[in-house]
Amino acid sequence: MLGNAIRITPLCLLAGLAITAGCPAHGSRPDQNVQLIEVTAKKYEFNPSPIRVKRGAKIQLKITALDRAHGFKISLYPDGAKAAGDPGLVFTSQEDCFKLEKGTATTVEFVAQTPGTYSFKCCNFCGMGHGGMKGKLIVEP
Amino acid sequence: MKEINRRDFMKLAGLGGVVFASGLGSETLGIDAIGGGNSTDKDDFYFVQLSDTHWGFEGPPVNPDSKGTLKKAVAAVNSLEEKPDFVVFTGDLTHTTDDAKVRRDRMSEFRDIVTALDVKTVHFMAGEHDASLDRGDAYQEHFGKLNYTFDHKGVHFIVVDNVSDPQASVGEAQTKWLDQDLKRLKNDAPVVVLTHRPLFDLYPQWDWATRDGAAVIDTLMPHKNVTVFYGHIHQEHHFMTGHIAHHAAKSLMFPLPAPGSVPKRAPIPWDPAAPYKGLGFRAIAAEGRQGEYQILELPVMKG
Repeated sequence: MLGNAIRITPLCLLAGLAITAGCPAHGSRPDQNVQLIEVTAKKYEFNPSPIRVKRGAKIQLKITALDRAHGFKISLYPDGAKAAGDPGLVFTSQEDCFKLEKGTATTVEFVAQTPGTYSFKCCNFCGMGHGGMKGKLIVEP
Repeated sequence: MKEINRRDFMKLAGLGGVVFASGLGSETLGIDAIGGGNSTDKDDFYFVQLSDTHWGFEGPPVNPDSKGTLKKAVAAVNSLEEKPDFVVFTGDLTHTTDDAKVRRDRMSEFRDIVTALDVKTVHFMAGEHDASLDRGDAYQEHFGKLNYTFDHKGVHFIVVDNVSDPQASVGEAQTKWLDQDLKRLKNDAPVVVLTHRPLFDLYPQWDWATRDGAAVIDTLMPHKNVTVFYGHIHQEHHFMTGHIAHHAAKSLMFPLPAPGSVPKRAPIPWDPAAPYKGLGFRAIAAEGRQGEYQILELPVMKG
């Protein structure tokens, strides 16, 4: 007879899986279809750039600001396209400028719906070169 | 202080300036478009807008006289035949630096230089170069509040801070402050908004916008006589959002290209054949309480 509560260890921890978003609730499976891309931000560049992904992929950019606070803002529509109709990148968050605190990884998640090149930039004034701190995401067919 | 009438103000145009008319009924450029009004009304006055002085910037290909241009502008203002009622600086007083001490040194030096202005009153405002890296701490130590109001001869001036938040927002608290301030006024009272970044989306790709600028403009819209003077884009620019006119001023350090005219926003190089080209300041004449303004663009130095 068990007099004490038994601690149930989720299978994911037993399996030794490293899940960036934390271990999912008991009974659900980790999303194997998410493409995780590590990005760094420092004065005045994002690395890597360009970032290449495939159409239809669910992307998580895990962005870490190395030297000071930065920001991340990306066009929803391909460069040169009209900003109307269904966006080419479909975000789970309503945020349009993701604040990147120094030393902390910030996750930006979206589905790359439409092929094209999407410009992104720092949206948190960071100094003299702030205006040139930009990058590109390329969604390939 | 001598009252200024239209004739006196137009004499300033002899310095090589171009006059722009802004306000109700002024739909076109040029002197001919200026309407009636009592030019000897005791409420007429003019003020000077200086902007984007970027004290501390160094870059000889862009401005080989980076240490002298501001001083020349001060001398130019002091040489105006008619003294302005006041001078306003619309931000980027100093050039950005990561070093907090250098930032403060630049602000002190800037302040020392402009004390030579021979005017009774000078109003200051921060730009993102002054305030975005420390939320305006150094600026406030040297120049006072980031947002404030003042009144002059029946015109209500509102300084709106859209730079101390590094994400280029005015913010809900300040927008509420603006709303409450406007509620004290009749909706046809002449209002001038002084700010640094454009409140509308002029060219967001180059940071020529305010993140929540639409909410600020919505707050201003119930008021019929609102005019905005701002800086940041380093060129003369005029734009309407509904009945609200927005006028950007030239810089006193380096000009920037027209919005989207080139792939990259970068200072326009110095032209030795035309020194100080694209740099300047402006005189703004307010005609009584009608919310009409004549804008006179003036060069840093006489031609």
